[in-house]
Amino acid sequence: MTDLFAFGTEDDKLDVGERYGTTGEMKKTQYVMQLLGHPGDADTLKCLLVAGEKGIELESGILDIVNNQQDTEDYRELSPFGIMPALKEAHYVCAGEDGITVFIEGRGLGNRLQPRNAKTLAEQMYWIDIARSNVAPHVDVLMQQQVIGPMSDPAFKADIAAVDAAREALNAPLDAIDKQLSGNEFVVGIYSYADIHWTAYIHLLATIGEAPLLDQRRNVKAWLERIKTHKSFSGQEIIPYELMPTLEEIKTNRMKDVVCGEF
Amino acid sequence: MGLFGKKEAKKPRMQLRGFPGDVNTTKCLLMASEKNVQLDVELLDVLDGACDRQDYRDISPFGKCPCLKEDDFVTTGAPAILAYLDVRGQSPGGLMNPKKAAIFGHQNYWIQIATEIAEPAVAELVEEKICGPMSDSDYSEDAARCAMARETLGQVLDELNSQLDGKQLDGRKFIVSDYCYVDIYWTAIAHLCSLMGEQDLIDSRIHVKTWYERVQARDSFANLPTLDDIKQKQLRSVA
Repeated sequence: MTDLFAFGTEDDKLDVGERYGTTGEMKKTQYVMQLLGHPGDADTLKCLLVAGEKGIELESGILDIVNNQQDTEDYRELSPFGIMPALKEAHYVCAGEDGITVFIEGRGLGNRLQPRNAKTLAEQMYWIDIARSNVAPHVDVLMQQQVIGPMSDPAFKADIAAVDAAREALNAPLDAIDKQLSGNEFVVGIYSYADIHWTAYIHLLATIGEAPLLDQRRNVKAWLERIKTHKSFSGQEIIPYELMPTLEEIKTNRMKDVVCGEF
Repeated sequence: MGLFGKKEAKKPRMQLRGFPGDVNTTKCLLMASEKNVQLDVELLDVLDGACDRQDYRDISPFGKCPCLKEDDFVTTGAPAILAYLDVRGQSPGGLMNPKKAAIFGHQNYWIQIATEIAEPAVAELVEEKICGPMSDSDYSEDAARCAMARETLGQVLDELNSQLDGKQLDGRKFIVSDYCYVDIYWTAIAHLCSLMGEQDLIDSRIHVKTWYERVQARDSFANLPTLDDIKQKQLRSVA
């Protein structure tokens, strides 16, 4: 079996003292997590955003979905149903965005991403539900047809009907979120997990050439500008949006690490 | 009550519109009962296209079932309703999510397996075995579709069985630790499997079977719809 987490400082094979300190002082590397995902995968991007938001150092490794690495025995050893991304911290391994983001948040710094007020919390969950069930499947189709397909086979021809259907299906949820953002600085007023989810999908749409879907929605566009300059709550000099990949990075399988300054 | 006695908080009272054969409605009924929320129920007849009617779309533009109302607050879909019930309700243990990051992460992993893999398979069984024949008396079950759903459920239940095996060894009785959100998700799945005549999926996996017996013994389980309730399209209020 291949250890898919053999990258970054894990691969340096530092001894325990070097990694975690022996004199009682707290070493920064103590908090380094490893994320195995892909820059074209919205769930991977949500994990990067939360790590940036919570000031958690994170080393990124590529799970090569272009060549279906998520279906290999090595990955299935980590995630039996192929759910991605996967995260490792010391001996702890977790798969899937839903588990990883709460784990990072639990380890991180700054404001809670989950609202405490019952109505605001329900509103957040509603908008996450819309993002997952009414946006994600269509973003996946566009990503597959326009980026991942051609990466796996240069002769790949996009299914135009599928692309058009995905664009059409995105109109209703994008209209809904545009309406919701009218008068709201963030999706439910305060910055929350709902913004993390929508940032990942909206960023991918903008990156793969679907900006016209966003340009016609004034509130979404203005919200995205706010997100682009939103600073991490952790006290670190991090703007989480800057962790988002460019199209070139997606096409060349590159993902940024989350690097923190002094604690 | 003494001079400095604590005034007992009034139980919240809410209304839920849902369907008895719907896994999301089932989860909300369980949560309401676990959190001591009084719930008045009303049928949302998904078989009759109630979710697609304009009056319902005015409340829930994407037709999400179920729907919850408390005073002037309305929300739809299981994730929103479960979170709302959890915060508004009362229970000795406080909120239903685990406090430790690692356990919380594992809980959400198992919730993702439930929602993305197990629930669609259960919905197919419900459709083939109950809802199809309810909508059309000439309906005949698609055996291949049922077999595929059964196989999918078998695979995830095998993994759940292994997960529960570890929990039994370290003395914990539920999926990731104490009773929490993830147990509500899997109780709804196991209950509907059982109603669909697929009890063997549970019984053949010893740790799943033992866990299911534990959740069945909780008061919240008594509020779940029976097969007859589904066929009669009736829900029971949570008192």
